[in-house]
Amino acid sequence: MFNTTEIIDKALSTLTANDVIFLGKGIPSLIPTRVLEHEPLIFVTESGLVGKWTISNEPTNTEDSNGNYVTLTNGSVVMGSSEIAEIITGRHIQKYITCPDKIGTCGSFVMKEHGLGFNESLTRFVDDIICVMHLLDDEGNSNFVQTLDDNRIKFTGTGTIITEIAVFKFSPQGLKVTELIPDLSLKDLQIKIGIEIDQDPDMIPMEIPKRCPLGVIDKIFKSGEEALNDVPDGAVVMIDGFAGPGGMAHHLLVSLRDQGAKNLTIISNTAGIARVVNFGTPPGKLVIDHSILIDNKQVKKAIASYPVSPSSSSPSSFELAYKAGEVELELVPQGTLAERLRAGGTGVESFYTPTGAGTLIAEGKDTKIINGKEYIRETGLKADFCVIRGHQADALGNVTYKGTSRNFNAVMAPSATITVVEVDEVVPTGTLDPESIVTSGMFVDRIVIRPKDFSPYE
Amino acid sequence: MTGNKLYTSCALAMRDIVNGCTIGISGNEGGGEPLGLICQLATMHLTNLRIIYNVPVIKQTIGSRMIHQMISDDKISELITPSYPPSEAFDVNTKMVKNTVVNFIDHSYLAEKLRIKGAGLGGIFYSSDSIGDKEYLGLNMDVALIKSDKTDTLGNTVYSGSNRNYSPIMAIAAHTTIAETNDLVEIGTLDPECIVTPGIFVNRIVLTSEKSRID
Repeated sequence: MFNTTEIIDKALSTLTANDVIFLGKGIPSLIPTRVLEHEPLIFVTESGLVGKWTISNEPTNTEDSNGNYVTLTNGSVVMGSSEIAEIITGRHIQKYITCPDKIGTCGSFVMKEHGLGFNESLTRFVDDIICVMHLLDDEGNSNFVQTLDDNRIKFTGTGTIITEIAVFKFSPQGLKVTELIPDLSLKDLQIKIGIEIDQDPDMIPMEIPKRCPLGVIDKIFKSGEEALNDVPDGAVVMIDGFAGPGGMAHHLLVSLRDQGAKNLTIISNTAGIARVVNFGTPPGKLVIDHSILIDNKQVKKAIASYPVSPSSSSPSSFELAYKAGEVELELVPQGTLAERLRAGGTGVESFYTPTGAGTLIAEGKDTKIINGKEYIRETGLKADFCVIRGHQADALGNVTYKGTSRNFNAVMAPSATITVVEVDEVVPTGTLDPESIVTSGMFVDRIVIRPKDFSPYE
Repeated sequence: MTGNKLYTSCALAMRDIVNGCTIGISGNEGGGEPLGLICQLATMHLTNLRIIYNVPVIKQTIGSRMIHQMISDDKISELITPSYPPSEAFDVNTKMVKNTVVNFIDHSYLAEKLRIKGAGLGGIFYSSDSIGDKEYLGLNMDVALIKSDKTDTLGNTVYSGSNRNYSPIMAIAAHTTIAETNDLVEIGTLDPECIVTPGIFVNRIVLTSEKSRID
């Protein structure tokens, strides 16, 4: 019979590098104690912790899901409830480790507390649920029951149940034993838990693998060229920035131009007007912006809120290409653009907004009257790649911005499959204040340091 | 607009709360509960309140005791919460405690409904396989009672550790946000890059009294 630490190690053996794991109350809250500081795992709790931590004997300002005082490990972040919700609904969690109160033979489970916690959304948006629990409760009653109490809220999902003597898999189709400790028969197990249960045809003896750390997080790339090497033709690419050169990943834009991927759809506030506006550009120079991609014939379509030059006498590259019929445009109001980006990263398929109702923007879109006001339905935006501009990053990918350079960066980062950040410097993990990190490392895949001698002007 | 946001007591900051109000209270398992404001609310002669509060399940807190007291005093008609602690008075069949209806909502959906309201959206749909086309609507909130670590006189606010929880999202969603802060600081003290809740979302500020800190 295995002990609680061994059950935890068994659960840890199912994790893979870079997993983001939501930890429930009870046994799961002990899991961070078995993980090394530099392992590429990110834990998330109901209380708002993101990263890793150790349980503290002294009162701190931070608690885990079980109400224990904790000390955050370097590189961890504190978030509010709505950001935790966004991580869940945006499907940024790979595994949910929980400790149910009772499991039914139907494959559903109930929790100890009345109510829901995060369980309804977790079981809906996380595909792999790992239950770590004891076979019997404190009174010696089985935690496995034929029929769940109808008065309690049931949760259904797919995953694994790890106990001290057996491992089960569960799904809406029911429960099956997949591993059993060698000196026990299925019959013994059935007597212990008091229910009839089937074994999986591939059932194996239960063993606890030796805890083997998953390596070290390394997201730092040597150059923009290396970080954007795999952008395919036809990719959707989010490009941060507001209007001028601030908050724009100039070095990555040059890398993307040199890499040469064609037929790109770019999602950005402008489609490149910094060059024609030229705020603060030295005389005789041109600032790098989206125009270098358009001039290089890499762009098929832009989704933007401000695609044209403020002056018709100095049209932008995109404007000229649009007039020549070489590019398509989807015009989006600025607030709607921010909201569509946020939707993409938070699992929102579409939303109703009053912005643009009754205008050309509403053409072809669902409309709805809510409390006498007209709303239109807009959809979330996702991308294959996102290039953003941070100020400082740590090796885990936690990012802070500088002044108004923040703009669309923070809302874009969670919405792309691969987010690449260009930063001024990489600082030692633990340097950035966990209260002030704007973009969590879970949303950042690749980090490139802007070369010291790089000029944003051509 | 220059209006002074500082109030010398919880009673003054909360005196215009009326019967039937929807009130959000921040907190998670005791962390980030505005104790002074909750205790004041429990003493007020109000009825038919709709309370949005994440009732602690692991430990009994002053907040949960006050909510139970208010339920006993028949002041709350509806409690909207992700979790409800085991209570002998809670009837799982009717979802009632005494005369209070308990409406359970998952944390994720509660947070999102508050954000829908705060962001001025009409409703949202999740990209989901199974539940599909269920629309989530905003949740109206008249007053938010939130707990701040540091607030400047403009209402700019930062939090401390896991005490952050529902405070920022409730501040955005509510018509009137009352922040109980541990530390009232001069304008300019807080780093503009690190302020979590901008002052535009905070209408009234009360300093935590030593008494409620000890409690």
